[in-house]
Amino acid sequence: MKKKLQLKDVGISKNNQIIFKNFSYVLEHKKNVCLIGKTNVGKTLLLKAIANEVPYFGTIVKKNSCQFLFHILDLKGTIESLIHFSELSLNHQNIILTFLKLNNLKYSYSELNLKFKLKVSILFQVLQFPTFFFVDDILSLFSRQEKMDFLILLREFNITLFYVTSDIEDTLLFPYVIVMGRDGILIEGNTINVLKQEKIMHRLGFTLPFLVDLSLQLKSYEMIDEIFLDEQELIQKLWKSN
Amino acid sequence: MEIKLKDFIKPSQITAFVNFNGSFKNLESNQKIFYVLDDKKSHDKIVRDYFIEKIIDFSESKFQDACKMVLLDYSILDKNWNQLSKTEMKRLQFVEALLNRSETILFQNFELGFYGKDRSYYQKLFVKLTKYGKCILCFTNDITFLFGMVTNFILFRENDYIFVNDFYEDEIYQYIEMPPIISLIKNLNQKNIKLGSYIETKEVLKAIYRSVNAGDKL
Repeated sequence: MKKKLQLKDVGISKNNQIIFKNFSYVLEHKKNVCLIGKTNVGKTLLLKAIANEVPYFGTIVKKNSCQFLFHILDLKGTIESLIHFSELSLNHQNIILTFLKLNNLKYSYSELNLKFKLKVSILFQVLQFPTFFFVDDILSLFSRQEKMDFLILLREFNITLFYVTSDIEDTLLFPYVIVMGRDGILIEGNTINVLKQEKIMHRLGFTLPFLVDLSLQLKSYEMIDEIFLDEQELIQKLWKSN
Repeated sequence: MEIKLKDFIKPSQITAFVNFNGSFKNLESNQKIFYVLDDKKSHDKIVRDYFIEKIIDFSESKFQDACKMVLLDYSILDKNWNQLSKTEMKRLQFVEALLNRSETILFQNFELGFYGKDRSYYQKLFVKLTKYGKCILCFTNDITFLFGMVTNFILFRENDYIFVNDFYEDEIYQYIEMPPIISLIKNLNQKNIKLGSYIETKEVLKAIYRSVNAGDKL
């Protein structure tokens, strides 16, 4: 049976006021999703509802294991002991070392800077081997490459990511995007198809990722005929073909 | 590393501090600076009670005006602090700074968690506050949030800090992520296509149009 997590007409109210309602979505295994939405639309609360940390209405069917990361964890011990490194297979050890980019795992967690604390927090959750991993807007400490390393890590561990972000550039790392509103999902679909809906996105108050925005404008001047997500390809197209 | 914030308190200026990895707890305590922190611990208090206690001449109408200014719903007054989201908590601290008439406000990663439209609004608000003589100290690693609003730019390195003149200085990007707009222009510069140093998409678009029409080639 296909692994999935179902949300049907999920909503949250606080102090008799509805924060959001009618959120329905089926999260499928091996299909990473990025969720964006206006400030305070209830994105974090949605994750907390899935985690059963806040009361909600509607239905959430979770048949597979889930892990959540809302903030950097407050952990104690060395990296090695926290992730039980010696008990892992060689393959997993290698994947973890590639992600961590640290040679010494004997460092105490408390000595690490925020970025490495975040990496260890991620590993701590990943090594519970969940099917679905829900992460709330905490990757801003990472460079684009580190975000990609994170996605590779999850792929290697066969974990599906549901990521909430306020950074529109992050959407480009995902194949699928959901735009959340007070009344459920406003737009969803293949990332480029969603971002291409320039007028709607602007009306909702979103700025577009730089290369998407630039491509769309160049397209309107008929200088290119597609959206480029890679600056090298865009450069080649503009300055080699004239 | 230690930094003396008082050296950067200058009326009507926005100073950016980039790549600061120290703890805000260790920064000097200074009555003149109001801290709007990203990781402020919540307290188990109703917002109204907190403000009545903290602000000597607290009035709901002034609170309402300040809320409006920072895009916060006035109904927050009846909520408990520990019910608030991170962005609500940051905006509420901002309200407190305004009601306190703080001349210097320090923001830690304020832009985090806000989407496009709100970010642009706060950029304009910071600039507007400097017109009223306020000093803004902005700690962030998001260079794009600083575009168009910063007077001074401090970059923290391993053991010291330097003043940076513009967003195109290479040294900045040894420490933090380069925004895609700067990456594109630098990449083109390396290929001997000089567009100019822009920080706005529409300016880059115009420069590309000029370059391509002038027949520039790789």
